[in-house]
Amino acid sequence: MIKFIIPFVMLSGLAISQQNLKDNFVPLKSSGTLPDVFTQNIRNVIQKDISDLNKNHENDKYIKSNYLTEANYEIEKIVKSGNTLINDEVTVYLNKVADVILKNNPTLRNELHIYTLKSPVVNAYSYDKGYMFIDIGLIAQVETEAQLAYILCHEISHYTKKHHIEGYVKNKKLDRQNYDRNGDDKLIEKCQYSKEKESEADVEGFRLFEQTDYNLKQAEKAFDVLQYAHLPFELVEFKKSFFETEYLKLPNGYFLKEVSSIRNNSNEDDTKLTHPNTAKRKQTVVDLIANRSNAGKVNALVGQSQFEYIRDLTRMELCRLYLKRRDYPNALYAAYVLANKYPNNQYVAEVISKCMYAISLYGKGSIRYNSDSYLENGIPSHSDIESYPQQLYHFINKVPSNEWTMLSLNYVYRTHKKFPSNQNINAYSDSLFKLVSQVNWGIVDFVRLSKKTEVVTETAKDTLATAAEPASKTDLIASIQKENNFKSYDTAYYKEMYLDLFMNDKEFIGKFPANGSSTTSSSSGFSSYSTSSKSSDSKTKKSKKGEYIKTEDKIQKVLLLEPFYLKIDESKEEEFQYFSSDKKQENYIVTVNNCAQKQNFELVTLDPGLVTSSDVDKVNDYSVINDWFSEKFDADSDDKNPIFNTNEIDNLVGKYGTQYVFKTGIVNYKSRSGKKRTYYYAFVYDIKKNEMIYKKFETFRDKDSKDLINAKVYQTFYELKHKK
Amino acid sequence: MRLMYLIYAAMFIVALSYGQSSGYMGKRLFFGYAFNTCPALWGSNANNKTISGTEGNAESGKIAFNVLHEGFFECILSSKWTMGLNARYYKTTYDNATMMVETNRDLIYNSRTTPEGFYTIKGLSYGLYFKLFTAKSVAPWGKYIQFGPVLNTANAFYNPNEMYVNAQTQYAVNYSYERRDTLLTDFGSQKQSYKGFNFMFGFGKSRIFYNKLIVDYGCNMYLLSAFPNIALTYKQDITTQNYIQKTINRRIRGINHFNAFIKIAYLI
Repeated sequence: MIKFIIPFVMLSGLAISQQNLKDNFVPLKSSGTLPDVFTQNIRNVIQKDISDLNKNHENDKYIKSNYLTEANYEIEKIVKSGNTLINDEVTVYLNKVADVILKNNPTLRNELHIYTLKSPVVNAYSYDKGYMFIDIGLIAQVETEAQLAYILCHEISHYTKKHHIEGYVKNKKLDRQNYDRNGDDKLIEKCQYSKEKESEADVEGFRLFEQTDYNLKQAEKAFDVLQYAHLPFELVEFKKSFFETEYLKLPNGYFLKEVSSIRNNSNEDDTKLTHPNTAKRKQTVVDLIANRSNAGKVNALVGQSQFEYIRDLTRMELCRLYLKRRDYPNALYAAYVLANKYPNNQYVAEVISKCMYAISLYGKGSIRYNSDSYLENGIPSHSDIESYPQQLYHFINKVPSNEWTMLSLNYVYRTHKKFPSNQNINAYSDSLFKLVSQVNWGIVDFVRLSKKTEVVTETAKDTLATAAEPASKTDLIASIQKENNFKSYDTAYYKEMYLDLFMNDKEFIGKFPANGSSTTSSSSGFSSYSTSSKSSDSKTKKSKKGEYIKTEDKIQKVLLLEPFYLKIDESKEEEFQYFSSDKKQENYIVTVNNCAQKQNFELVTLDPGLVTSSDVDKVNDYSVINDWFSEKFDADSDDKNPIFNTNEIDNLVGKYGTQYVFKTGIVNYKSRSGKKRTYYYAFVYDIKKNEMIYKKFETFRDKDSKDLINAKVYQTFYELKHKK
Repeated sequence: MRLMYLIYAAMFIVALSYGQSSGYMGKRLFFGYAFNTCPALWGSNANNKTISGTEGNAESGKIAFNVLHEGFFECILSSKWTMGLNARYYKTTYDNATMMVETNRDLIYNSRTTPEGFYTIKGLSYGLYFKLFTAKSVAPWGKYIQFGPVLNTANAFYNPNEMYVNAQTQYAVNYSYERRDTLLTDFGSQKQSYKGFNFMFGFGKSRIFYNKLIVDYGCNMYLLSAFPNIALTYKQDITTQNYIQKTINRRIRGINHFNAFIKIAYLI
């Protein structure tokens, strides 16, 4: 009996409970035991791989040993990046699909390590070590489990055919031998080789795929998914009614009468592409399908409902990933699509609220983009967008900034009323009230009557008089109520959008500014975190060296986030000195800890490279903070752009007992001519207040000597501790 | 009493430094030894040799350097400033080739002669100096400039058997003049002491090994020594009695005006 009970208990412990997407969504997280790649010594792994390579008497040993070094480090980097999901629902599902595909080949199945990557890109890739990474963006796009299975088959074929290492060897040989040829020739030759391998993987992948009971036609359809990967995961008409209420009817002028068609570039010139164009790839698969029987084949073997659930999880996660790169229109559209399916999902409503608020800030100039941002030119024009999403982009760009703020408040406040316990939505709502108070509108603007008033009574005349001379807030509210009683209308569409709230909602009345027109200054004069883009605290010291420290808080404890060390030597064929960097990084962590310890500085290290197999929580925490920084660094470092992709910062601050996150690293560079440069950086961010409180970036025309590093790191902690 | 004040002042500065500087891994005091050297191009070194050779008494040597030994104590005031005290000892010679003693002077016969031999100088300089480290450096690590006042003290010694002047002195004899050979060996006291102020300026770079050992290299110059003293030209009245007084500064300047150094210090 015990024999049966124990496995059952273990399995139930490992089982991941499904989320109820009708109500809410919790961002994807890793769980369970961390794989070996987290805990193993990578240098030992590489040495073993190279030793095996030497035993096998293979050609191109030097290049291949370089590949093994690079590939192992790259895999480690990806797995430990915080973007790789481990034992989460999606990854478990992907592995189930792989189990189905390779049910007759357990040896091969055991060689594979399949992970989900938190990336909005529509892509999947594999290494010759058997590691496969499937992007969230791809899973969100596929239409059936069978399509996903075919993509996995394609990636498995890359692995079995050793395409990655062969491509590496080919490219290295081309780089060595063809110095007399121009760059284009070399690129074309590399691309040609890559295309051959991709075509081979398409064919071999199909052969593996046809051994399963998946619908063969879905392999063909998978290429359509790739073809239209630049479009949202679902194309639905963006209806203006989404933002409308009984008292708000948006003008037709804000919306396009018709949207553009979708361009078909499936037959594009692929000379300089690593993959054949989709038309060719699709045709290859169509030819293969032609003579095969598809009888009894199905779209889902693991389960249709499970596939749809998993896909919706990735779509929900995708919204967060869009927020991470500050792509608010895409996040808004994705959330809009999801809201149609899950109208009561709190997470979706929160994403929309975040986007509305963010776009309000963007309109005020408080959220800015730069050349390093994902949206380097800001929110694109609708003319750059295809199909239904064009409508949303047109709407965003057409609505004047102040009106957007009012519309946002209308949506976010009503969402807050729908989910009153959601503190985030409440906070955005409050921030929007502040924004409204800074523009030239107040309650007084919502009591003006137009000359087209149909019924003008003595009372209504009084109302007009009241509007002309700003009265008390309660008087103004009363006038609105009177206005409603007499069914007076204003020409501006937004005048009545809050009417029901003014009538019935005391909280709204209490928070809404009384008379914005008479009290506001310019819209750029925001003061709070939510509306100020530049850090302009008077207590901030700034020196010529670009180093400044906020002085109001005494810092005694910081969270050290994965110290970084990189050595580059251009004089060597392999510029990136992986082994050396790795060893230096280990020493650097020791140095940082020593320097902190010497000054009684409390340091908590959060580094996926320093975890045990049971430290999955640390990996998740690292991921959250890393995502926070990703969004932060999409803007200028001095900008105080609000961070939307995570709500977990307060929890982490409580868990680790500090709101200060310390990022530091060293890059050592040696040029072909032997010139040496060492770059040292150290930043401390207050993740609770969303501001950088310490910055040091220095360049030395010197090697990365131990005394240099000791001196700089010790100085950093000294300055932090003594607020110097 | 003065000494007590000095000690109090030093303690105050050190206490101040602990409050403001990170030091190197928390260490803010160090002491050590410095080896200073400059080529003996024209002025002779302690062995009365010069690289260039002279027409005088100094021997020509391909490798002829002046050597100065220095002991110092330094404290770190801030991340950019250190303050130190040093004592620098050197021994050198004055090669008499370049200065002539006026041995006879009257309306008819005027004679100047270079003394034979050389005299020895033993010098001790005391300096108070400050180092200002560059923007990216952290005292005591990195590149810096240094400056500060210096008190030069020197003792000159000569041996009358080695240093003398063979002069012809003109005498009036029977309404005519007669010149006689005269050996002049009296250059005043055989041990003469001199003092003078100067101002040191220099730059250098220091590295730290094993978190305790400072290796510092660079150069320094005594600014007032870098410029020729117009008062000490050939045409001044130099007699055997004031010969050392008039020439010793020239040699002290020569040895101090530019030196390369390497310092070894211990961080405490």
